[in-house]
Amino acid sequence: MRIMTSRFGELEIDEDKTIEMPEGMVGFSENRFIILHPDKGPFCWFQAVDNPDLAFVVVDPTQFVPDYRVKLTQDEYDKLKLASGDEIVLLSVVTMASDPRRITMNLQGPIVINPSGMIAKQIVLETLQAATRHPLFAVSDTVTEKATQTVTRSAPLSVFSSLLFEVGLTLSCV
Amino acid sequence: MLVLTRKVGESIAIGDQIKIRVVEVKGNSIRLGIDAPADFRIYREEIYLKVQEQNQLAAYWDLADFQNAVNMFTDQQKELKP
Repeated sequence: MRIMTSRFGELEIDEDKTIEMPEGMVGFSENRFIILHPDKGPFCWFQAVDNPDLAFVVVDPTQFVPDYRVKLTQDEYDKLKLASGDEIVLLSVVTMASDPRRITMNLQGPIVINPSGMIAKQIVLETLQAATRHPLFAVSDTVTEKATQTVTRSAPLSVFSSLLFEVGLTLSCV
Repeated sequence: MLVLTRKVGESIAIGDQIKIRVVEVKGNSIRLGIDAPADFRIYREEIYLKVQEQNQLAAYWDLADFQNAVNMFTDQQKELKP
């Protein structure tokens, strides 16, 4: 299937790599996304299939905050069509900045993906300290303690290569 | 909107499963205790709005900033593993 993106041009993607997001991202109405994976760096893009202009930069938050966990409610389990014991994948939305030190990720609104069902939902966490603007490049101790709500096994994104759509966008590194 | 008056220690029940109790009133802040089954996601409304606002901000970015960030990340990795 062919999709148009304003940043990466036209892409020919496998339909089985599209992720359904029935409720969309908070504040957005798009319902289908694909994870684009560049050949370099920790970031991926969460590209809307039906809107060329909408792409979020995302990261696997556990890569930066190793003990980051979320606890799903039964309702969320059901919406994600998870069975008990199923693994989930977490993504954090990244807010870019021209100074890399001011780049932040949103730990309070993670995207939860059911990698076998290809369904996702952005959830909002009421953790007193989890930050919507957590600096990406400076992880301090106080920060790692933040979003520790318990359980729900999550696997690193890299485990589920089936989720990723490799894009041949070569980033020029200095 | 249903508006009810409560004193400290009094509660409101929503259905059979949710109870909200006024724990403390201090100035213009009210501490509420909420009893609800674990499958209710409860959060302060402004957190939802913050996530929404952050999504809006995150949706605008340009490739140059992105490349900068990737460079910085790969440099950091090099420092960690010389």
